[in-house]
Amino acid sequence: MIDRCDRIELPEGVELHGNEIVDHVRGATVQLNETAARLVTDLQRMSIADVAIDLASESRVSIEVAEADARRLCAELNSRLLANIRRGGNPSSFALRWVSLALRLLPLRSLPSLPARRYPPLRGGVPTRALIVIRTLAVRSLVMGCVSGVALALLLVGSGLAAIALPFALLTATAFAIAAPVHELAHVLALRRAPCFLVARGLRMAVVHNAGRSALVAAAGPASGIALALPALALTLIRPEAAFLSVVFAGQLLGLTVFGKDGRNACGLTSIRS
Amino acid sequence: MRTYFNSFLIGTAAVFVLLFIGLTALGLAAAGGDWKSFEVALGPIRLFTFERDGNTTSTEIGIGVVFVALLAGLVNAGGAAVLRRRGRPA
Repeated sequence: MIDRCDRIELPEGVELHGNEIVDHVRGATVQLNETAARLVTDLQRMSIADVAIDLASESRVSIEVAEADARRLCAELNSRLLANIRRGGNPSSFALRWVSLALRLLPLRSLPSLPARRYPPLRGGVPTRALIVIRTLAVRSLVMGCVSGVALALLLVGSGLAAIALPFALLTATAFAIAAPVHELAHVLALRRAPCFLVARGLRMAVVHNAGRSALVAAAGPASGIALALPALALTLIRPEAAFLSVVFAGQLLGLTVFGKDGRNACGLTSIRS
Repeated sequence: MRTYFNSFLIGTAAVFVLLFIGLTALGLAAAGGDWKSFEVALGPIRLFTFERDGNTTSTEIGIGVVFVALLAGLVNAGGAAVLRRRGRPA
């Protein structure tokens, strides 16, 4: 969902050189035509709507067509993680529009897409990188925990198990809030000092890199569930409810199967994103 | 072929560890929560047994865990084959 008053910004590690966008972290270059290169420059200081007016006045296209082209370019660059979207409008009005579109798309079992946000490349030693990952993903993980807790509570109440809904919802929220950053942290630790960056799209998070040993890096995330499940098992000796926590943590291991993105990478079925 | 073999191994190991942790947690919760004796089985294949006799409890993780894990490994390898045939970038 990209709006007409949005702009783009090239994230740290990405540069426009003439007609090329260079991604220094992934070591990749994307060739643009002259118009696209100019649009990338303009879109960094003007909104899509303003760029479209300029473009329409210089060429023989209508403002609508120019706006659609500019919007498509923004979406394409964002999907390739080469540009972040800078919101020009009010965030709350964006949220309202997203919710209303989501409700309209509900019968199609689809949700409006959210732009990806690419964070600066992770630098420094392991402790520094770990701190950055936790700090960057903390709020998102808490939100993810709340959403999963509420979802489970609704499911339990709907199934007539209202009496256990609250404790299990709290345990689930806690488990997700802890597991999400630890999962990404495990990917980053497996990468050691290789160049990488964090990406967030809505509540989804990922570590993107172009290093070797991609199977090991991909497996590290879901396998972090074991590291979390073992202390939770020990806690079960004192509080039996912690058994549920350990199961939720260990459930991450299912991400090692080909039904999850990390699992497909670990099994050698593709790419570079963890 | 190597992809399928890796998928089988990874799927088997992942589900085995998951079941082992899950059933251990179940055993600990049962022992701490004053649960009565029970058994988890898939037909004749026993996955887990919890027994309480007075103040003594015992838990046993059955051989069924290995069968389920191997089955999961096969499903994972099958999934890998389907994905590869479709040529999906995944």
